[in-house]
Amino acid sequence: MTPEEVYVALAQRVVGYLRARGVPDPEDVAGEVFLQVARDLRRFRNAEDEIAVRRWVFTIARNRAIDAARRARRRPRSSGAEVPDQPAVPAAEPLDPVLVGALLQLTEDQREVVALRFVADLPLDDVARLTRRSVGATKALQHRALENLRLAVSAEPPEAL
Amino acid sequence: MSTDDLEGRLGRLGQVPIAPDVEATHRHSIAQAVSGPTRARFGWKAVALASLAGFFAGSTALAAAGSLPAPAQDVAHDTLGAVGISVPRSTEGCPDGTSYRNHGEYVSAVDASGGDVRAAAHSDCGKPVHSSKGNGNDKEDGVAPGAGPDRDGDPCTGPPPWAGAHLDTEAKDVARAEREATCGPDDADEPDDAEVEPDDAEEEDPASKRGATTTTVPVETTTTTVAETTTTTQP
Repeated sequence: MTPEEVYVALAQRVVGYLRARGVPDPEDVAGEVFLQVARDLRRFRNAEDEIAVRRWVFTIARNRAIDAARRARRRPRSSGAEVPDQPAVPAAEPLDPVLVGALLQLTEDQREVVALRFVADLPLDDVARLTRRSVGATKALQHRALENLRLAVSAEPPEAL
Repeated sequence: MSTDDLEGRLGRLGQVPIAPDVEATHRHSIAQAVSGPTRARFGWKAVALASLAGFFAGSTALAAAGSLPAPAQDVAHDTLGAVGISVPRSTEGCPDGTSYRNHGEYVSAVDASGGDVRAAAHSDCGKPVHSSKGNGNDKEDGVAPGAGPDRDGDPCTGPPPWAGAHLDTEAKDVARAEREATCGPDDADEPDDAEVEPDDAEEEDPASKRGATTTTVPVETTTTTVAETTTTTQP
């Protein structure tokens, strides 16, 4: 696979995964992910194996999501006294804001499993490998995550839906 | 809401189209990364080292074949000889075009063949380049330091005529007197061991020159100054 083919196949899934993880500015982070893919794909052994490439790309995306979360934590909070020079441009509205809001109510581990399993569409084995858990533990975590997510979505006010 | 519905909604989250301008930016950066400059196989240090090694190998090969110009051949002989690589000397200055290992070998060859040893001793054949220019320190040639022909044409500069020549004491004294008559007393040149003035020689401990052990006993010197008193008696 060429870097362009990888981008066409996985760009939407990567942006969706990063958005589900609550990464700020997921498009920018996705750009970083595919830039690294373009640089390193020639050294990737299983470049012709689509499943292996998919797993590799989401490993990069997961690491970038962790980096972005660290950066966000280090960023100093602006005090209330500071007034921005220009009004903030509202972020693009995601397809399902209720679902994204409900995902943010899950724990970090639950959100990661759900995002990898259903948004990134990885098999359970790959999710277990990426999160360094057993398949059984991953399956149990996924079950609890879905239950909590269902409750969170149901609890949203009707006008938000 | 059923679990299937929830999974379907999660799946659709990963199928949201990317904004065209964002996608264009991504594709541009990917294209740049793919077509970017490829990393050189060898660093500049490796290339410089290889070039240097090639230069030395080529020069050594040419020197071993005796194909370098005469001065370079002599330099190669001296330099490579110091590290144990035998390279012929140039044939510059040798009358028969033969290369000799050193000047002494040439003089011996002339002596053995009954030729003019004195002329052979004054020739450049077999001498290192720096020695034949008049400042030779090469003991290998068997010639005294400073010996050699006067290249400037000035009899008062360069090595004295008796240096390096196998002259007896009488002939040496005559040559020295002639030079002094022409050039005056030689102050600039380093004095030979025999020419050292006794006062100068005393400055350097002669025993240390012979390698003898010298014990220095400190002597306390007391200087007493007696004031001279002059008494004048008035008549």
